[in-house]
Amino acid sequence: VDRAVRGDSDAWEELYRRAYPKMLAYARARLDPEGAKDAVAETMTRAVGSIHRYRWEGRSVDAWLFGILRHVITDVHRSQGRSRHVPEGGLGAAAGPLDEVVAAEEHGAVRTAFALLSGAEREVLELRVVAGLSADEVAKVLGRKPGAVRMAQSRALARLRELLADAGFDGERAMGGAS
Amino acid sequence: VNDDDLLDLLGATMAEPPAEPSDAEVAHVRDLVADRVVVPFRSPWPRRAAATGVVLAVLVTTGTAAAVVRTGSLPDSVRRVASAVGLPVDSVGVAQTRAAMADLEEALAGRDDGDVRRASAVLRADLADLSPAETDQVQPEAGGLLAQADAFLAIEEAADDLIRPGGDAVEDDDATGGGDGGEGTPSGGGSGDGGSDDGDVSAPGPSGSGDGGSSGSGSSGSGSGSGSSGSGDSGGSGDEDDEDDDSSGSGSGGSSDSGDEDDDSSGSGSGGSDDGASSEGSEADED
Repeated sequence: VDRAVRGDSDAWEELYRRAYPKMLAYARARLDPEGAKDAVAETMTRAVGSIHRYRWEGRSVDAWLFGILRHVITDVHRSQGRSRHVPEGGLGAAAGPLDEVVAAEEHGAVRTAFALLSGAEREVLELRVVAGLSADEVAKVLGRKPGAVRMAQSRALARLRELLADAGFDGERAMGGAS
Repeated sequence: VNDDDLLDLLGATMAEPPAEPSDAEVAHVRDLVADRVVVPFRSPWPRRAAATGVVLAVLVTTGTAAAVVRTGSLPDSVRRVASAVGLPVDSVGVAQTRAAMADLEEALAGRDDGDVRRASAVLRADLADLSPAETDQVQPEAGGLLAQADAFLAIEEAADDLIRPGGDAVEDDDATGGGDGGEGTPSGGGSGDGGSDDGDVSAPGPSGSGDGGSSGSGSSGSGSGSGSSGSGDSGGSGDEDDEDDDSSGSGSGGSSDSGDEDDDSSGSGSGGSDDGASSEGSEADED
């Protein structure tokens, strides 16, 4: 990060390549594929322009980047009249190698249940699972207190568990499959 | 399934295929970094200190300028330029006039007629030098001050006039009676002769009364005579030159106040210029 602050292009490329998959996955859950790529590119543009502010916000680089990405996506939604893009089948429904995963019954049930969660619940879980942020980092991205994020995460998982149970989801089998 | 297991399951379900930015996207970021003006890291404190300093400097400068303008202590050259460019600053002439007004106000407060006279003269001169527009700015206040000054000076002059007639009478006495006294005193008891010689004013009276009553009574007579009409009368009555006595007697009568207030001055007035009265008085005192 210090190198990036000093304008080291190699450091920026390294940072970009490391954060890109998670940012793209997070963006694709909210935007169409092309819009997701554009959002990630815009995020990096803003990050380069404001890297000098990073230190003073006390966040990890990933949390800081996801905070920017979240604002970019919000701007896109606003410019589109708040017409939020919801990928068919929820997260992970994109075409490509994921189709192999979609074929699995358990994963399909999980995606379906996940799509039934509220937007706030989905966002907390996405930031935790997709972006790989800690609860504290998620709290900073969302501008909430860590305790509130942990509570929200707990409620979202409880709700997801109920939905999966209603769908006759066999958790033991799924966990075996997942492992 | 506990929370951790469920999160793991979610992670597996939501796993995205490995994705990498394209070469074009990477090049774009590198270009952004290359174009960006690198700002070396700085603690915010120096910037805050600098901002605080700037704010303080602005406040001090503004406050000083306001104080300077308000107190009128702006240098004339600066005032001239400021006034010329339309800043709300008094012109040099108006500033001088205001200073003269302040001086006059101070003189009036001190109740010194000399200062008031001088200050009002300066103010009138400054007012005369102003343009009509400038005059309009100060005229109401200046006019009020000048009116106060005129009233004050009129009162002072009236008071002087009340005092001055006594002084005149004394001077008259000096011119006439003093001479008589002067003649009378050296002669002591024979002052009656001197007094009767001229037959003038109060001196003859007192001295007349003193010619018999010695210089002591004569001197006291001259002291009160210069201040009292009685002595004049007595002087007048004691003499044959009634007309002169009357005139001088009335004069001395008019100076009775001053004689009462200031026997010494009247005594010296009558005798100061003339040896007789003073010496007579002093002798009488000693007696």
